Amino acid sequence: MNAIDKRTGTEYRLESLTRSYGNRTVVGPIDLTFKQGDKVAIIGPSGAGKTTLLRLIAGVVSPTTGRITLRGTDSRAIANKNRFKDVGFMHQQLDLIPQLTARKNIEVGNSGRWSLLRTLGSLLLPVHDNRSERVASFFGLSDFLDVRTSLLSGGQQQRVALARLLVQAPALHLADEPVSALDPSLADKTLQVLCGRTGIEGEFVKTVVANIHAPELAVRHFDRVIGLRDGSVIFDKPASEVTDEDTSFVYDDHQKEAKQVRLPVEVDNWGRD
Amino acid sequence: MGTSNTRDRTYSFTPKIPGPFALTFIGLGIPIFIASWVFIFVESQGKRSLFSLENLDRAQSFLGQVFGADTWKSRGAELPDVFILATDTIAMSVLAIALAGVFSVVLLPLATARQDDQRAGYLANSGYAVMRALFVFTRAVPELLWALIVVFIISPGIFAGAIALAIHNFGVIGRLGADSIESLDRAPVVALESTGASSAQRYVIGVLPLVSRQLLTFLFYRWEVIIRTTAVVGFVAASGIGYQMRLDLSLFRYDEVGRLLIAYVVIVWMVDLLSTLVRRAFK
Amino acid sequence: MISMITNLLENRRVWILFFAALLMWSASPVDWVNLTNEGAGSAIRSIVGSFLAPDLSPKTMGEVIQAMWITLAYAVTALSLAIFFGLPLGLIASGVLSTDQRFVLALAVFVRAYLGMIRSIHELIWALLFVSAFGLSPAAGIIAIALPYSGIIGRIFAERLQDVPEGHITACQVSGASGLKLIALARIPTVLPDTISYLFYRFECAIRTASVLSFIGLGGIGFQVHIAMSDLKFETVATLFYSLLALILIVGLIGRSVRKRLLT
Repeated sequence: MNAIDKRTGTEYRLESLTRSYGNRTVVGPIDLTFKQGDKVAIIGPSGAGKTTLLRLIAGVVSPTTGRITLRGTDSRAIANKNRFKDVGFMHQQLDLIPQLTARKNIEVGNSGRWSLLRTLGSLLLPVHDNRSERVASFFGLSDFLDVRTSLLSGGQQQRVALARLLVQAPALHLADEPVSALDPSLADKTLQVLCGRTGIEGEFVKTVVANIHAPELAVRHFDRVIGLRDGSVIFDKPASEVTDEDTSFVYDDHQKEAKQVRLPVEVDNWGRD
Repeated sequence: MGTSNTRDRTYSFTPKIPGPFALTFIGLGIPIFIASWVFIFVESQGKRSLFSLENLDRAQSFLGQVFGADTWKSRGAELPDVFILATDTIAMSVLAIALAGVFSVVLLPLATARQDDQRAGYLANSGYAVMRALFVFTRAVPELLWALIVVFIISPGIFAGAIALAIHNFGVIGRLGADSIESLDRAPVVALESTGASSAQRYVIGVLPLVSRQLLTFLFYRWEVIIRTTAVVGFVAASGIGYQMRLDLSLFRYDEVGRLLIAYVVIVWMVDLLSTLVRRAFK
Repeated sequence: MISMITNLLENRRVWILFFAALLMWSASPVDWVNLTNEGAGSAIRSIVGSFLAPDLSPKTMGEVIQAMWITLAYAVTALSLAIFFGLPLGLIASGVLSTDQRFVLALAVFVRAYLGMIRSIHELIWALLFVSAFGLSPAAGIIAIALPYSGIIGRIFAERLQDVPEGHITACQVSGASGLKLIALARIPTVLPDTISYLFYRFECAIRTASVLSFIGLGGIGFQVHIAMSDLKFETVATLFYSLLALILIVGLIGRSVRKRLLT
């Protein structure tokens, strides 16, 4: 489902990436590498810079220092109008267009590929895009497709935004809190679709990087978990090796004793590796 | 790397029959639209075409005279006249907005649906309906048509024009104000009730302060509109810039028209400026 | 010096005094003694009476309905012209079409100023000027209405387009939309419902203005009112007023139901 790919590499690289506002460094320095096909979850407390990190990778925000390489090509070298093939981004605030139906919002994912005429046609003519409809069915949205988006519940809207991302089908899927409004079983099903574990025919190997608010979900659905806190990577390990101490450490809040206790625990973990 | 399928071109047409409302809307709207244009086209036959050559010449000479040399080098005697007309126009607009404002503010409580006053009952309901209907009626008729009636009663002049303007704008401000009051949070007003305040007191002390900022914005916004319309009402009310302009047009004194136009635009801008400044000061 | 003036301008008391003075000054040229005409009392009585008992005879109704149709036709044609020119001008004036080109931005500023200027002058004055310049014709009346209306429609449309939340735009950009596609997806659907309801409001205004325009000789409700007044046929005047009310009520009703359906 990808547009013809011009990228040569298979690796995504973040090198010495930082983002500062004034003299406040929100993110970084971060060095990270992952490859096409990886499913990476980022966990961490609010304000840790998770959203900024995703926005940096998406190209919505420019880094203060450092470099981002998307499959062998420097992120800055990609023209804005072609960026949609490489990376897609689902915002935490969803940013759906309230006046459009769920169906049309999902079809927005096609905007990169569709010509102006086709876009206008989809808006004005009673035409349905079959692919968008199929993706919507993966998320259980089939019954809500023709409802005005502003009338949908938070959880439904979140799935619409995620479906939009999947319709765009970029090489790299970025999602900021994609299931925060969903109950546990729905969150499970949704993440299964996102991380490509449902074996849907026509599925292609995609890279997913997502901010996940619940560590259990992160560990269950993703291959690799990164803990972010105050803009720095606290740990970065395969999902199977993430321990409760890791997660509680990342979410631990301003406790001086914990700070002192932390160091030995970290060393212990590394010792096990 | 991802497998690239061929570009997915499948889409399905799902034409749905539009509902009865949409059908009537389109079914009536399009014929009316076409009929209107046909009508205008037919009416225009035989009348001077807008874009004929002789007409363009005439328009050019008209423009030339309006903005021509004579307009600018006026003899001393004419400027004071223009000035007086301009001030008359401003005065008319001020009186109009003052009248409309006072009457609406005083009569507004009758026009708001009282949800928390059980004792008022039936009387309040009929009063409400009457007031709202009055707003709609006065709003629907344009100022100039009201002016035609008013000059029968009030001798032509600034005040007659002001009343005509005030009648129409009473409806506009009344409607806007009543809607504002109805969308207010009623808690402070209900609290006042428990202290034994009469309904008049409740209105003045409780409701008005809450809604005053919005009312002020309405009033000044309407003033901006009124100053533009005042010139026009002057046709009938026989005062102000509009009246003189019409006279001069019929006498072909186009240089005077040019001067009046400039004065008109100047006072419109002045009022717009005043309105913006006041709204900023009362923010 | 300048700060003193700005302080003065922000002072509420100063403004209250200013407007009180303005009000008193405005009231001074009024001749309060000779305010009412001769026989004003009976005039009031007959006018009120006729409004309570309008002329509903078939002959009058026929003329009234014809006048209603003429006014409606003028309003429809003038408004359609105003929309046809005003919306694109508003689109340009909003500046959303400019990607980085300064030319398009300059154009936007220019169009903004132009739209603002047209609005300053009332439709009827435009009409008088056009009629004097081009002679009495329906086109003169229609353009006189369409010109200021396209100005305000364009301006409101431009403001709405600019007020679309940044998030909507960014989300569509990330999905790959740019340029015209972006405007079609992110801006237009968001502003469409409010714009349509505003256009219905403009339709009501257009009917009012068209009725007054007929005053200067183009036929319609205003024209008939003028004739009836000169013949002192107050009952007919009342009927005409009510017919105008009916017209505006119908348009208002349609506008409100359209608005309701757009919101579901």
